[in-house]
This record gives sequence, structure tokens and C-alpha cells, in this order.
Amino acid sequence: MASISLQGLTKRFGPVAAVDGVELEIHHGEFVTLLGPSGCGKTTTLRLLAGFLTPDAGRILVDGELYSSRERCLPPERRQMGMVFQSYAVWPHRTVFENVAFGLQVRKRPAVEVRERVGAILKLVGLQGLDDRYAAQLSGGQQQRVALARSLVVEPRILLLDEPLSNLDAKLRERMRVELKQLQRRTGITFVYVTHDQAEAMALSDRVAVFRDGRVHQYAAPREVYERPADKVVADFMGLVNFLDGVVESPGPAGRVRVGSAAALALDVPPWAKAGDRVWLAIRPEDLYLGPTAGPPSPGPDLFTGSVCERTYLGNFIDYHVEAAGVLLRVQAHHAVVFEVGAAVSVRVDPDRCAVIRQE
Amino acid sequence: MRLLALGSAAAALVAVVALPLAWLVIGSFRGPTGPTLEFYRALLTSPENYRILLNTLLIGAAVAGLSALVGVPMAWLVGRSDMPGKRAVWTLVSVAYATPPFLSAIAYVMLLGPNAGLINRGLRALLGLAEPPFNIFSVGGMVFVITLHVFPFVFLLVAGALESLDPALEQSAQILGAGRLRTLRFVTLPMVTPAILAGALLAFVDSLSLFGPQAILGVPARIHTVPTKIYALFSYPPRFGLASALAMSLVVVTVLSLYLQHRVLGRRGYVTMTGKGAQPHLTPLGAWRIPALAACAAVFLLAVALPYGVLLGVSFSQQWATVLESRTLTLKNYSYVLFEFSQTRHSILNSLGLATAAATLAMGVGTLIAYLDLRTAFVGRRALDYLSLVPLGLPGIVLSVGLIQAWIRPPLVLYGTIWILLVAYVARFVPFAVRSANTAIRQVDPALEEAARIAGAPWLAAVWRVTVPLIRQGMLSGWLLIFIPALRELSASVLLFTSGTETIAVAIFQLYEEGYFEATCALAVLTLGLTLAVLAVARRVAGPRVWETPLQRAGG
Repeated sequence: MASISLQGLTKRFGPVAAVDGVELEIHHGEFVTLLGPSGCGKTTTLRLLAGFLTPDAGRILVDGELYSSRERCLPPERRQMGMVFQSYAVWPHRTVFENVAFGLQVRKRPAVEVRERVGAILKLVGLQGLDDRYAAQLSGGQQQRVALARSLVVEPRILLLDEPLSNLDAKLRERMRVELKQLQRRTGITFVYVTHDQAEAMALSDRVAVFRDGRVHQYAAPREVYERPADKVVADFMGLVNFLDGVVESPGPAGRVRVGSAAALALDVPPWAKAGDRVWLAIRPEDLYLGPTAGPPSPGPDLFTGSVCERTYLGNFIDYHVEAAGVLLRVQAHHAVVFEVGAAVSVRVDPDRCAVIRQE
Repeated sequence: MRLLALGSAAAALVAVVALPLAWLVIGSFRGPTGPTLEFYRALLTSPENYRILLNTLLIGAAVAGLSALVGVPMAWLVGRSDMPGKRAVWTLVSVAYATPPFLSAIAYVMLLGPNAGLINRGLRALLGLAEPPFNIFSVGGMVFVITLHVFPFVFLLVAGALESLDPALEQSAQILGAGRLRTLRFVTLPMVTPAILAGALLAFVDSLSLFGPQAILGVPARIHTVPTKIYALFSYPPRFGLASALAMSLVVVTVLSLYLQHRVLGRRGYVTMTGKGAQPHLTPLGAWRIPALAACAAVFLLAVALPYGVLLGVSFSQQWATVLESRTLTLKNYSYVLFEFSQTRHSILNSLGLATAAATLAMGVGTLIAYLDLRTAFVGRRALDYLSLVPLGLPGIVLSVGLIQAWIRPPLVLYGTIWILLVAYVARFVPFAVRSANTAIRQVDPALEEAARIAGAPWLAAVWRVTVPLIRQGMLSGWLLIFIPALRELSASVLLFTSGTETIAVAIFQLYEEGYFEATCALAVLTLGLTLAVLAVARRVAGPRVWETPLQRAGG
């Protein structure tokens, strides 16, 4: 268990700042995910944490103790961390037992204790009986578990995971996801997890840090990141989203935002927005509702009319492209809601599900 | 620790490569009274020197062309046809390259010498000719013998290119209605052209530096080349200035060629690396299988069977000229070189010791340099990597000219001791070492070492327990591939040896010069036996295509 503090962390490669003034506070026993597309700086941040890289500016503190700064960088072997690599990095010239025992042998634990602890950890990850196998004789999932066992057996205070599930097939990935979450709860170790998969991030994390171009755009619980994205980048990265161009009519908690000429939505306008400001309203496709143009509910301030341009049947829902309010909207409707292409439809917006985002 | 290990490797590289190079440059401008351009003027104005340079380039160009003529069809037969015996072709290529070229030259003197050459005598008797049909002491003779040694460059590069060429590219032409020849001309050949050019350039560069065949076949016919001229300039009193200037001319030519080769191969867009695993369509040769196989067999005959045969035969004979008529075999030549003549005996020990030490040191330095380049952010690691490749552009004799001047003066006088030979060997073969280690390290995921670090192992322990075991095989095969050419190194040794520090190659060269052909052959057969034994071990370790890594990547 350990808390981590990243303060103004910066790492440059040539002229490019891969990590650019990152600030993060990670609590004891928290499961934090660094999320973002490739090249966003999340892996560099993780490698800075591990001590494989020295920051150009800023500091990393663990439990208040300085681990990394430009001047001083504790080598990886003295950080008491564990790390699971994307490629697993299971040593191919060593057996499962030798892989897992390595960290304990480096720490000069007696042989009896090594055998005991390796046995226990292999049982925990479900690899008992495979001690004498070599990496080449293991499946991807098993190698993954070896990597986990190897990093957990030394009882690290912090476990770093670099896209550990990205090389597994979909089914195994889901199972390992559940196991990782349970493991983290059981051990209470602080987990820092890197992924580009937003679903994985939401499923696993206590908090998600969304990275883009070396900066943290939002750092919050999964639900908040998804439903109240801090900016357009975050909204976009967390899944399909519609952006409606709006103008603030009245600010404040019971404010109004006008969209196009037809509708003015009543919603909670954040304090930074003043009357007359242009804002984006971000709304997820599953929060839009299609209905016939005529009949109830009657046209109101939260209702647009439009026509269906495209329809894709996807089993559990139907994906519609609807032209309304002068933009193309993506709507995910229940599979029983059926409109033909070209049909006139109404689109209802739930104002509570709209996030107000600053327009830059 | 890390800094110390890597820093000392860098320092060693600078000492063995940069220092002699610097002295070569200095020497070429250093007159008796001060800086001078006199040597370059002598080089550029004297018709004799001019002619020597031209000879050297001409031989190189002819060798490059002939190598392509031999290597390209052979590579195609192995990569794209259903010719049987492909493994045998790989063996032939690796033996051809492993064979010391000065031994082939000596063998061909005995086979194709104008007066006493066995084949010439046979043909004259058979056909009743007045004149001998062949004269090995000629430009043609040098080109022929050198090509037998360097055509593997073209073969290996083209075979590699064909292998990585996505067969789908050829098949798309076929599906559009192109016949086999047309596909070959339209797709295959253009795609492997860079490899052909690169291989031919490497053959060119290598041919410039082969002192042995040039001295053995050219000098008796008064055909001088740059290496033989440099050698002549060192006969007492040594003329450092002109030798350095001549050496510089060779450096310029080889560096330009290697740069060109690098450029040609650099356009990697040509060779698509996606084809691994997909099976190319093998052209059925039908009735052409026999001539194809016969052509490969002819190369085998010329490059291996004939020279090995004559060396072996003469080594057991009383008198080399009557080897075919004589009915009695003798071991006296072996007993002479092994037990009676102390100079040959200690030359064998010197070479074994030097080759072992040079391979070990070069591999050690090479591995650290490759590690530095691939695994650290050390400033100047690229420069070190380049520096480690520089000796490829330094023919052995050129390197020696620099080394002598660097180590002939106090405080540290290495000239005259065996240590200067060791320095020369390490410098000559460090490019092979760096390339071998580079290939091996590239195949190891850096995360494997990092996993050991984060598990609590300090750098040295992580390298020692994880990285080293994983690259051990690559290091071992690199070691063997340095040991083989180091064992028979001639072109640097011939300037650096002194009484007591003769090497096998020097001893063979001296025995040959003095006309003891039988003893020469006995020592040659011992060298070949040792070479083939080590080659067999290397093929065990690295597979049948042992030379691929050091040669293919030589310029890359």
C-alpha cells in the first residue's frame, strides 16, 4: 500500500514533450487507470513511475518520499514496485517457478520460504502444477498469470500494469479483468494501469486519468468521466458522442441553452458559462429517443424533428443516423423502435443527460 | 557499474579504431620537415601509382560483375526453383567464404601456373598445344580466384531479399496473365536489384583488400595493386608518407562504396518484409534441373574441390610437380611443419592464441557497443556504432599502416610485439561482432531485462541473468565467425609481424615465397582442417546459413 504523487511531471523526447506537466494524486490501495490513445504519454508516465526513465521536470513522490526528479532517480530495483508488461516479459530461458522465484532470490530469501511463497502465489493465480514449464509451453493467458505472479510474489507496494490484457482474446480478457479487480481488492496494493480501451478502464478503475498529448484532461471516477466529460477530447475518447452547438440563454443551476432555432433545453449550466456564450452539448447516442413526428409527446423545447438517413441493425440495438437541428445525430434505439430510411422522426433529448462543454 | 562497463567498451573502440585512422591521416601529411602535400602529389602525378590504383579498381569491378553473374542465378535457383540439393548449395557457399583466399591462390598456381601448372601440363599433353592455355599470373587470374571467395556476398544478399519478398507480389503478376519470365523481369528482378547492387559493392570492397591473391598472382607478373604496393613500400627503409597516402586512397574508395551500398539498401521500401511464412511458388525446372545442378557443381569444383584436392595431394607428396605421377605418399611435410621447423610450429600457436583472444575481446566490446546503441539513451551511441563499422572500410594492410605509426613510438611501443597483432585483429573484426550482437540483442524484448530490474535486480545482475543467457547463442556464433577469419588473417599480419610473432598465414606466405610448396600445402591443409572444424561447430550453433548475419548486415 502506498500513495503516489506526480507533480508537474515532464518528459521530453527531442523537441516533443511526451509527458507535459502531469499532476496526479493516487491514494493508498486505489486502482487508477491511465487512459488514452497511443502516443498520449500514458506509457511514458508509467515508465517514469517505474524508474526506467528520468523526468526532465517535476517530481514523483511515494508516501511523501522523493522517488524521481531531474536530479535524483531511484533505480527501478529499489522502488518496491511490481510491473506487468504488455508482452508479459516472461523469461523464456527460465521455468515458471524460476520466473516467479527470481524476485525473492534477489532479495536473498531462504529457499524454504521461496518455495512456500511461490507455491502460494501460483495457487492464487491458478497456475499450480505448472512450475516446471517453460514460457514457450504456456498459453497467452498462462504467461499473463506468470507475469502477475512474478510481480506479486515480492509483495510490492505498487503494481504497474502496461496494457496487460491487450494480447488476450476477448473472452479471456473479460475473465482476467474480473480477476484483476478481485486481486486488487484482496491484496490492497495500489494499482496503476495503462490502457487505450475505455471499456476496460471503466470496468476496472476507481479513478481514470484521461491522457492526450502528454496532458491529463480529466481525472475522476469512471462514471463522471463518461457522463460529465471535462472537454471535447474526453467526451470523444470515452465512446460515441453527439455534439450540439448551443448558446447559453440563462446561466446557473436552472439555466437554459438554446440549440438551433427550435429547442431551448433547461439544464444545469456550469458556473463558468455566461449568457451568450457558445457551448457544446455532449450527449451519448443511447440518451437520445426517437418517436413519430405526430402524436404524443407533443413537440416541446427538448424535441427536434428530423429524418432518418441511415439505419444499421446491430442486434441488441439499432444504430440510426438522423439529420436534425442541422446536424447529423447518432442515435442508439431499442431494437423494437423501427423507422424506415427517409422517415420523418422526432428526437427527444433528456436535458439531464447533456454535458455542457466549453467551446474553444 | 553500468557507466564503467559501457565507457570502457567505448574507450577500447576509440583506441583500436579511431587512433590508427587518425595516424593514417597524419602520416599522409607528415613530411620530414613539416606538413606536406608531397605524398598526395606523388600519388596523383606518378603514372606508376596512377596505374596501380587503376589496376586495383579494375580488378574490383570485374570481381563485382563476375560475382553477380555467379551469385544471382544461384540465389534464384535456391530461393525460387525446385532444384534439388539446396542445402548442399548453402554448404558450398559457407565453405567458399571460409576458405582463405590466399590458399586458393596458391592452389591455382599449382593448377594453372603457365609452365608447371598441373592442368596446363595435362591440357598441353592432351591437345598437343604449343603454348599453355591458361596463365594464372594475370589480371584474369586474380579476378577468377578472388571471385571464388567473394561471390557469397551477392548470393547471401540476394537469397535474403528473395526470402523476404512477399510471394503475393509475384503471384499478383501471374494472376494478371504474366508468364514466369515476365514475372521475373517485371517483379522479382527489380525488387531484388538493391540486394544485387549491395552484394556486388561488398564484393568490390572486399576484393580491394585481399592482399594474398594479389601478391601471389599479381606481383610475379609485375601487376601491382594498392595493397601489394604498400607492402613493397615497407621494405627497408619504410616510406610511411607515400604508404599512408596510398592507404588513404583505398580508404576513400571503400568508404564511398560502403556509403553507396548503405544508400542502396537504405531504400527499404523495395524489399517488403511481410512475406515471411507465405510459401513462394517454386518454378519447376523440368529438364533444366540437370544443367542448373551442373552449374552449381561446377562452382563447387572450382571453389572447393580443385583447390582442396591439390593442396591435400601435394601435402602428402615428395615433389609437388610430380604429384599425379607419384605412387608414394609421405608424411614428412607434416612432420616438418609440426615438429621440425620451429617457426611454423609457433606460428600455429600464435594464430590459435590470437584468434581466441581477438574473438573474445571483439565480441565483448561489440556486445557492449550494440547494447549501448540499442538499450541506452547514451549521447554519442550512434557515433560509436558508426565507428565500430569503420574497419569494414579499412583493408587489413591499410589498418596496419595506421597501427604501426600509432604504436611505434613511446610511451607504449606495441610494434614488434604480438599485442599489435591483437589490436589489429580486434579492430578488423569488431564490425562482425557488433553486427552479430546487434542482431541477437534486437531479438530480446527489452521488457525481459526491465522485468528483472523492477523485480529488484541491479543492472549488472539483470543483464547477466536475463539478457546474456538469451543472447548467448548469437554471441557464440559471432565468436566462431570471428575466430575463422582471424585464424588465417594475412593482410594486416603481413606488415605487423616480426620474428617470433609470425602467424599461420604469414608462415604459409613465407614458405610459399621460398618455394617450399609441399610444406606450404601441409600447413595449408592443417589450416583448412581447423577452419572447417570450427565452421562445422558454427553451423551447428547458428544453422547452415552461418555467414548471413555478419555478411548481410555488414554494410547495413
